[in-house]
Formats: sequence, C-alpha cells, structure tokens
Amino acid sequence: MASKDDFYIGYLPHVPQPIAKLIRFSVGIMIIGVIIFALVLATNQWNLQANDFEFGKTTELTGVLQATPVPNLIIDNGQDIHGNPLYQSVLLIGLGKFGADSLVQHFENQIKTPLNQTQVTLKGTLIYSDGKTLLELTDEENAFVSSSSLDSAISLPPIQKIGKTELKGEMVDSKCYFGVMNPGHGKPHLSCAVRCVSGGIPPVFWTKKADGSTDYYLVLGKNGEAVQQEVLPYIAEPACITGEIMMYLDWKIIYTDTDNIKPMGCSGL
Amino acid sequence: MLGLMVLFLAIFIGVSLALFGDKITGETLIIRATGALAITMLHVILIIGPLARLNKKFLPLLYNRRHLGVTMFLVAAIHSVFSILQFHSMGDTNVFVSLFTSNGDYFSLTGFPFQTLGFFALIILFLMAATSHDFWLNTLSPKIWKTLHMFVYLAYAMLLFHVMLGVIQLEKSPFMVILLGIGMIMIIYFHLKAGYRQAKMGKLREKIELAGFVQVCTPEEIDENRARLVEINGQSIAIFKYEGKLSAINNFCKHQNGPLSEGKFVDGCITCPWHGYQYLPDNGSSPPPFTEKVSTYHLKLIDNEIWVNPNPEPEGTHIDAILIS
Repeated sequence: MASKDDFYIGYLPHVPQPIAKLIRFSVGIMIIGVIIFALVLATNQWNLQANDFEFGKTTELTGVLQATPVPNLIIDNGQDIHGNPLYQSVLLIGLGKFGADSLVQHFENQIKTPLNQTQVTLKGTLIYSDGKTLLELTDEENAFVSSSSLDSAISLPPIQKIGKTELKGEMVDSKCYFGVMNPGHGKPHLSCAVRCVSGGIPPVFWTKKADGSTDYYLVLGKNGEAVQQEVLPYIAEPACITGEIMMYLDWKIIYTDTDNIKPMGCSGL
Repeated sequence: MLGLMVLFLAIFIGVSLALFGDKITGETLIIRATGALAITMLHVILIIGPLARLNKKFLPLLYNRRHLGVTMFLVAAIHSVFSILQFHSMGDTNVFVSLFTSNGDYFSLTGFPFQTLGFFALIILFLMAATSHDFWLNTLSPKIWKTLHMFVYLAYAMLLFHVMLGVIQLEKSPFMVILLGIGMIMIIYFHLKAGYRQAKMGKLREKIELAGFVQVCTPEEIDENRARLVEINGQSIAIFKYEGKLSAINNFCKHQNGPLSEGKFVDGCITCPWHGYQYLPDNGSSPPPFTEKVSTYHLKLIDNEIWVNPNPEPEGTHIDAILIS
C-alpha cells in the first residue's frame, strides 16, 4: 500500500517500493502506448502511389531526341498488332530540381552538333508510373553516351488536336509526381514541386476521370513555350485549367496561359 | 526512454516497410518516423510536469524530463534536416530562402506554409536544448531560464499547427487527427488540474490580519515533515512542520523554481521534490558547500493558530523556528 510519506530523491540509492512499483507499471503502460501509437501512425499513412524511381541504378536508352514540346527521347517500342510502329516518349529531366534543357544544350556544345531529331544514347535513372516514363540524367555532363544521324526519318504520328476543354485537378512537377517523391502531390509536397517547376522541370496537370483512373497533361504556354515561373502560384493546389488539348505520342498536352488557370476548392481529388 | 524510442522507430519503420516498402523512399521514411516520434515525445514531456504535481509518485519521471527534451530536439532536428534536404535542396534557390518563399500563402489558414512553423519551433527547441545544462541555469538565473523554457508551450502550439496544416491535410485516415486531439486534451487537462490544485492549496479560508501577520491554519493541519502552501500578497510561502517546530521559507527552489511546499523535510533539510535540492528550514540556505538561498518568513503561534508575516526577509536570513508545544 502506498504511503503518504513516500518521497523520491533521485540521488539516493533507495527508491521507496510503492514509487518503484508505480514507475514499473508506468513504463509498462508506456511500452503498450508506444506499440499502439507506432502501429496506428504507421498503418494509417497516406495510400502511397505505385511509383518507381530506380535510385542508384542507371540505364542507357537509345532513341530520337526531341527538344519540343519538352526535352524527350522517342523510343522505338516495336509494332502494334496492325504493324504500325509504336513509339514512347520518355521525358528528360535534370539532376535534383532542374529540367534537362541546359544539359541538352551542354551536350550540343560538347559535340558541336545540334542534337534535336538525332539518334542519341543517354544514361540516367528511370522514373515511371502509370504508363509514363521519365529519365533523370543523373550523371549530368556524363549522361550523354553517343549520337548518330538517323538512317531514315522516323514517321511519328502527327500531334493530334483534341480540342478545347476545362480540367479540374492539380498541377505538380512531373519528376516527383511520377516517382521521385511519394506522394509527389498535395500541400506537404508543395515546396518541393515549386522548386522543381521553378528549376525547369515540366509541370503536369493530373485529373481524375469519371471511371476513377487518372489522366495527365503536360502544361505548356499558348504558343508551346515552356511555362515555369508563371504557374508557380497554382502548384500543388486544386485548380481548374482551360486550354487546347493535343496528343503527342503517349502524352497529352494542354496549351494554356495563367488567365485560364483558376485555383479552386475541387472535391474528389 | 531510449529503449522506448528505439521500439517506436523499429515498429514504425518495420510496419511502413512491410506495407509500403516498394513505394516509400528512405528519406520519406526517416522524415515520417522522426516526425511521428518527436511529436509523441513532446506530448510525454509536457504531461510529466503536471502529472508529477498531481501524484508525487511520478516524480522519478521528472528526473528524465530534461534528457528527454534534449533527445526530442535531436529527433526533431533529424526530421528537419531531412525535410529541408528533400523539399528544398538541389534547386535554384538557397534552401532557407526556399523555405520561406516557396509557399507564399501566409494569409491563408489552410494554405499557410506549415514548414515555417516547424522551423521556428525547432529554434525554440534548440535554445532549450542548448541551455538545458545547469551552467546556463546559473548563468541566466532561474527566472530567465524558466521563462525561456516556458516557450516550449509556444513550440508545442506551432508544432500542432505544423502537423495539422501539413501532413494531415493529405491524410484520409482520421486517426492522426484523433490522436493529436487526445494528446492536446490530455495536456490541457493535466495542466489545468495541477494549476487548480496549486491555487486551491495556497488559498486561505479567510484572510485575517493582525499587526502584519496573517492567520494560516493550525499545526494539526500540516503533516509531519511536510508543508502547507500559502499565497499572500504575491508571496508564495511554504510553512514546514518538523521535529515539533515550524519554519517558513519561500516556495520556489533556486534550482528550477520547483515547488518546495510539495517537498519533504529529510535529514534536517527541506528537500525539493523536483531534483532533491535542499535548504535548512531556519535560514533557507542550502547546507555547505552549496550556496543556494531562499527568503525566510516570520511565524507566530497564537492559540494554536499559525500566523505568518508575508514580508520576506532577505534570502538566507536566520529566523528561529517556533516550537509547537
């Protein structure tokens, strides 16, 4: 039974039994509390996306370098069942929070040849999610492996105009969203997305379709120019965007300007 | 405590890897695990104080509070460094400029840049951790030191908003909000209860004055080797009963302002409940070689009623104890 006279003094060797007993009991409660807290917090984290960023592993990709609409590498993926060539566009991204434009420029200066629409082999880290692929040029200046002129022009399907539309969703940076960060969207990621888009990484607008799947749109200016600083106020927030939609290989592109982007409290995001 | 921290991290990281191992990066896992641990530790730290006031048997936990606070700062620092690296480094702007400018919604509640709140809270925690040693307690004086360390409540408020305006805005599960709410209610409840009890303890039934002395209680109302707290004219006075005598000294320990009235007369000295600092009852001085001193007060015993003069004598002044005959 605890005595009213029990008194604990830390520097004395003897701890009154009732106090020692209560502390032992308290430690037991704390162990149970820690287990419950850690389990609840760990199991109730945001449902992370199935993204992949092959951190620490580099891959060489060979394809046709295209400087527009954003730096990308067109990869030959064989043929479809009708015998038509299948091409995939792999977005090129710089290391850290930078786009690939200046690196492509650097490669061109290095070999003193324009690289647009030539066949190149680049080395980098693959990022992929939901059918979209990006290549981070991790080794920067050393990411360029080789180039060669094309034997014959590849027959790309033309950029297909879909029409003007309004989308509801969120603008993010393509690099983090498709794999480097998880989650790469929403307010907790806002600062990082702002830095990435500010550094030249192409912004992407993602939106939920009626069937629950997600659609992605590369965001460009009305005349196809890159938009970076202009869209920073709209990053990582629910927004409505209106513009012309085009299809470029496996990417959709929305051509717009800031007058046509409105922040909003969208639901269902 | 270290064992509990390791247990928390092991469970959090282990379960996260088991459930999301193919999706979550090492950096993200460190940020989440240390963030969750730091906010949990802060709740424990803030509850220890009032809990020990309400039940003396929890006093041993108080001895660990300072170490726990410094460790909690280190955990929060790991969370902050990794967050700054992940969200702000390797970009086109200085990381600290980015921290304050990447989100400019300072006038929006839901859009408020929550990372800045975490940054300022970390500065407070750093100042507390850096001054946690008794050297700083003596250098700054207990009053300034204590005031500085009361900023932990501001840090706690900022961290609550840091979490609520940050990661919780992306969470679909209500558990984090519920846990935070329970934690906040517990902290407020224990502080209010301890404060109410202290106010009640020091309150006089009725203020009766006579020639500068105020009537307090009878000796029988004070337990042997314990004290009665009385608050008069802004003075917090601990009246101790021991060895058939009565003495009164100021209630606040010179170490960390611990409540001496909740202490005990041990080995001829009034002993502070917080860290065991001791004072001689008749002069309020720590026994040699220690040098701490508190104010003393004159007492009278008239018709078995204790009367105290609330005007303090200078710290360390000898006043003869009065005998209970």
